[in-house]
Amino acid sequence: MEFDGWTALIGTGTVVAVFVVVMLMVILAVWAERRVAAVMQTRIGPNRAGPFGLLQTIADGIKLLMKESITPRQVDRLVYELAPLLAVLPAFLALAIVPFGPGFCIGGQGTDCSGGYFVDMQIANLNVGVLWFLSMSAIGVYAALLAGWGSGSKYPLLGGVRASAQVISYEAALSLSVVPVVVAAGTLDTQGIVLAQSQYRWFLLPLFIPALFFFVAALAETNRPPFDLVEAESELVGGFHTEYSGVRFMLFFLAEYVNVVTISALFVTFFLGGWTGPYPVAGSVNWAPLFGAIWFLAKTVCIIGIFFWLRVTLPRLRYDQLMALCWKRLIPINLVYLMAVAVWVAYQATGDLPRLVGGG
Amino acid sequence: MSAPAGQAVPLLLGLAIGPTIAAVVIGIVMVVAGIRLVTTDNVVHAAISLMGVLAGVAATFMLLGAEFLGWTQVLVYIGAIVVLFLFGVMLTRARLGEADLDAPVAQRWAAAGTAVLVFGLLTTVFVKVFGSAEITVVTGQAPREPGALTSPTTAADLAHDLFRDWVLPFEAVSLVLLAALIGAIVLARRDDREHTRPRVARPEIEVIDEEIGRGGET
Repeated sequence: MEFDGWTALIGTGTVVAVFVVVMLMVILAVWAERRVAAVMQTRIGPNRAGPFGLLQTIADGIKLLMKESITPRQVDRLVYELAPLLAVLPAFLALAIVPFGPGFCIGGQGTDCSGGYFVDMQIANLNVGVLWFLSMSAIGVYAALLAGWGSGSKYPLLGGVRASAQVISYEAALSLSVVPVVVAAGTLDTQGIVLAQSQYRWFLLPLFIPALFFFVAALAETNRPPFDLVEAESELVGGFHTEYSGVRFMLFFLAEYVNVVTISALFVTFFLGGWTGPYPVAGSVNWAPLFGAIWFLAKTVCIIGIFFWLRVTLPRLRYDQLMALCWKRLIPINLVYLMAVAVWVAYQATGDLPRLVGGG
Repeated sequence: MSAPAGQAVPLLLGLAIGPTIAAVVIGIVMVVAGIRLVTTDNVVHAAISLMGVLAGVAATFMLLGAEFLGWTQVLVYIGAIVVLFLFGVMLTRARLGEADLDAPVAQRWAAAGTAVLVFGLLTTVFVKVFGSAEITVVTGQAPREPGALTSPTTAADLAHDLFRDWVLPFEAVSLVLLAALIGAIVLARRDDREHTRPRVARPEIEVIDEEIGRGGET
């Protein structure tokens, strides 16, 4: 397989397809969140724009685009302008390593697809996919941090300081809950992690504690309730994005929901077997990639649903509870679990437990 | 092809145009960001420039095929160290909208001298050791010979080198880090029994409030 026009076309097509799918999911997620919250709180929710209010997000988006984008006088221009971009770019870039389905072959033969074109159902099949995702979420921290400082105003600054402390801490917890998955799968490549879970050997059961902690850290990473201290309306007006309006606010809003979709998709990839599902067993059917994508999206939607459910159910954490949860619970327990997983994997590989634990 | 700036030069000369152009662009970005970093008066702008420099280092690693190292660079340096630096700035001297650097002249000269020394030392070492070395570009799944300079470097190669051949320096560095950690705890810990429980949050917020109060008047 060599690089030519078709390869470039397939690459571009993948990017466009992923972008369209994710934007649709984001638009539906914003609507669904409001409707789900409404049902849980015995309200009606948005039901005017379009059938069931489905077009509400579009209406809101148009409204935000048309609104004046006010730049307050006291802001630091460079930092203020940079922050929304640093929110939305890493959010979309992180999507690049999400495997939406198994790769398939067009026009070639055999397992190595000779003479044809191999299409990955993901934008970039990186060897170090997990690292890419962690790097992108690390860069995402800057959005809240710089927005908070660059706004030159009190509430955003408090939001920014909270954001940096919270996200640095939970970044560590998030990374540490991914490491057992990497050790168990033996690869940093997201497709490899999915393949390691084929035939229902989902990591959710053997790695239940990392999975749970990953989910908790994911809530905190995306600043979702009950970890939304960064933009707590009742305390900080709007938190780090208080001074942002119009398109720039929309970018923050968009980034939050793209992050929710990405991190749910990665939860599915890491712990729920990714695109593997009950119907087409390992490439036996021509339509396997399509079914793979359907399973994947279905699982992702379920995880996003849990995000919404927790939002309306749990009260916001206090700041010291937030820090104690991360540093005294999630990280130490994860470390112990990681050691256990590493010993187990090494034992499976060598079959020599006494030497591993230091005896003789 | 002209000689590009940046440390990747000798290995790329005469090999390929694409990587050379990339190295030149990365080098220019890094130099510009580096100059801005040391000339700006604003701490936060300096931190953003530092991000640019570190991103350039990561890009250079990736250009040399060290994908794992490149992304680790992004994760650790951009994602953690500069963030912690900014966090410190915000806690201690975040007078809203202004955060000025006022290093005395003597300090600036000392910093410049150190920079030149480190640059000279590293350049000499790298040219002496790797000046005539060639990186073999590995395609496919060819096995790597131990100690060979190959590209791309996989995580497994790196782990093998780090935890088998170079495990002693690695452990020594981890000891240094542990010492730094203990030092930080000793410095930060206050031995008053009064605020034992919410110690994490409270003193920091007070500092911010104070700073905001000061900043609001200006």
